Amino acid sequence: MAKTRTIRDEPTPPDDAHVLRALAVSAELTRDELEANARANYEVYGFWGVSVFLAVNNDEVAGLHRGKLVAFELIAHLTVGDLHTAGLSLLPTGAVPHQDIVTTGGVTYGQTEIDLDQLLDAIMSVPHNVRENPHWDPEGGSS
Amino acid sequence: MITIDVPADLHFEDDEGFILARVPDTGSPRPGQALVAGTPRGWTWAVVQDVEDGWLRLRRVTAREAASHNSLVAS
Repeated sequence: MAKTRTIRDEPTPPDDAHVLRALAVSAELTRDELEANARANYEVYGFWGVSVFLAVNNDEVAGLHRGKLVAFELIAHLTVGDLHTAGLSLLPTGAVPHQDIVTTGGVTYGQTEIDLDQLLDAIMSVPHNVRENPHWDPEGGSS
Repeated sequence: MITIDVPADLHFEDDEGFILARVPDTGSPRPGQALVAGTPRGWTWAVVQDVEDGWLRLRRVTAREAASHNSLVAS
């Protein structure tokens, strides 16, 4: 498929900004689900990236909890600063608030399986806390 | 228990904010069809926007809108 990915022209978010990824498979963030997303991204856009949503303040966090992530009971919260410490970057891809976690340096095409392992190892090393979604709707946010 | 029609990572969005999901092995739904996408731990009602190269573009909708597209009862 290999489409060109739109990268928004945005300033780097502050270190204390929230990076959210819902727990869709188990009660923990798993390498397998990150890998599946990275492989899908590679197939469509040609680079390793893991999809997350960015929230720069608590109001935006709440907006994600009751919006795009309303269907999820548990959500992993990371910070931009901790991603940077682990040698990772956020790439403002697609539509707000979507971002891709990539290795520092941004989009690199023609990456290898070793690059994928490095990306996943780095993400899994980032401290995160799992929070209950106060707006969770087990019916998929269907109302 | 909910039946997932299309396994999907609901974070994986395209440039227009549509969810991207592989066409399931069970076959491709048609554009305009309402379905359930996600995983048992997190799912959403969605309508198929279009299908291209083995990928679905899905638009999140409410159950009410999904019901207006087709029956939501699994057969």
